[in-house]
Amino acid sequence: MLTDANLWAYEEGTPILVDPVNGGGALPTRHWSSGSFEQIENINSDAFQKIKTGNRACYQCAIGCRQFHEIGDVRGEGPEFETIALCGANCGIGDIEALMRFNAECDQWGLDTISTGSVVALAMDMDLQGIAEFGFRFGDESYVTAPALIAKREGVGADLALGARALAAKYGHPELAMEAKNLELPGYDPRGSFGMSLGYATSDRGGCHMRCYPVADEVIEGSQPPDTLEGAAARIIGGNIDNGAIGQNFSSVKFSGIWCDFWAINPSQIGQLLKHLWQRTVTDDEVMLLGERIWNLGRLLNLREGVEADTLPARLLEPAGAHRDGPAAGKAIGRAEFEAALQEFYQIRGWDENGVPSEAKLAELGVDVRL
Amino acid sequence: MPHVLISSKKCTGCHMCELACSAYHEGVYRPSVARLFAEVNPTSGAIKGHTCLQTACAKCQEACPNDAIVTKEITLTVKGEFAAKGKVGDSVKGYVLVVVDDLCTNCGECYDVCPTDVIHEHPTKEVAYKCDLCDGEPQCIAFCQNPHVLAVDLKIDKMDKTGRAPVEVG
Repeated sequence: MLTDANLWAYEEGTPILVDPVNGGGALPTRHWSSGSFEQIENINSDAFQKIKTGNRACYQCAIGCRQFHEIGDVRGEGPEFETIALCGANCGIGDIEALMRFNAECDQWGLDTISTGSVVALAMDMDLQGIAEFGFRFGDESYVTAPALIAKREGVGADLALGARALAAKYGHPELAMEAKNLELPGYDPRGSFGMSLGYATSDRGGCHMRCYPVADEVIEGSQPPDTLEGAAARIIGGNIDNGAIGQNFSSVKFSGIWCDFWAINPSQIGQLLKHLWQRTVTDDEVMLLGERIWNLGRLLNLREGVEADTLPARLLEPAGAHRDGPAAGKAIGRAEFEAALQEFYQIRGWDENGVPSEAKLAELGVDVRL
Repeated sequence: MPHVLISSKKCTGCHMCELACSAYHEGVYRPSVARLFAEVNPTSGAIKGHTCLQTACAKCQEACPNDAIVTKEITLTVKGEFAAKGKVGDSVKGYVLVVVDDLCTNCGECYDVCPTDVIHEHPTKEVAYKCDLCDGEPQCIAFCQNPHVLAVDLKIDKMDKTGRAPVEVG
């Protein structure tokens, strides 16, 4: 539903996040070598408002947050914030038309912009460091040819199609891959928002900003410090519904119900909707319990299938990887601090030191299936 | 004369109007049996609204060999700014074109001439069906839920192509 609370989604869409995230030093820039992009004014929300042609909605949605733009001979939907981050700043691209074109290419070829932007930036980084020559360089607009090459596995596209982890490993530098559980990380640098380090690492499907969103507290609203993990574990799990800093438990039930992220629905409203479905009262507590149960079931499935340990690339945790300049300059999470926060996360969740849900927790949640 | 119009500039292609229409008339949420629709080009995002222009067009009434499409009096309330020319909140008296099921033989002449492609054979009855302005409270307008931008609204047209006197229809 379109209300004053989410009118931003209609008026600006996700590009509204570009300036605050860049301002917090948390915008991946030139393959995560910096947390802010000096050319951001060319590809921020204001820049896209100047070339906006209209709004479109997903089926049945009153918000209509899809922004359509036109520049030169490129027109169509997007780019969203993630695309501006991963295919713009992360590739050192400050040209709005080139970014529009790259986005359109990914759209046409059916490629995810986060993974594509990430692997192209990795290729640019390896080129810069003399590790391999892919013909793509930071800031070079010829990068718009990459999506087609990747989709067709043609030329250098054959290598880039491997994805960040396999590509970096192939050329002997696995430490360069910016991914968690083999899913390329989205547009929030944990060094500028420490809570996201736990968020990415404990996400069931790898590097994901949708499972929990401490960025809302730490960067957008600034109500929580972005440079400490103290208290982060609880926020990752429980979250804050009022300011968009959604936690894993609530995101589990909200997205299982396929409610859009941008509808600030609360547990009480979900309870009312479920009441019509189940013909009985559904309390706020039960709604949150549903979410916790979903998360635990997902964990059981992952464990059965041999999921990797919850961790992050060393570059994002260790002092040697800290940014040299920008708002997050010199800030490092620290591996020991990260591991301690991870253990705190497991404890709060009622899991053992390896992240395995305890029998007591499963009984509490009413989970009687063992996967 | 009043008819529903979809603003191609404001419409976001959410299809809520179609859901409201099908729910009100057919008791199901099924855009394919709505009496209006927003045509959306998925790549360019271009929008074209398809609504019945009622007496401003009246080609279906003209084509019908059985006089099954009749003119009926109706009173409506104008909701949004769109094309209302200051009449927002006012009651507007006008005419609506209605299919009389008992007289319709499903010959299909009206289906062929409709310029906006909004009259078709009913999904379950073998007669034509079209927009009837919901007895005065168009549901498509009520449900265009984008309160900041009302994209579906009444257009008060000066044109009146109907040659026939209004009748009482039950």
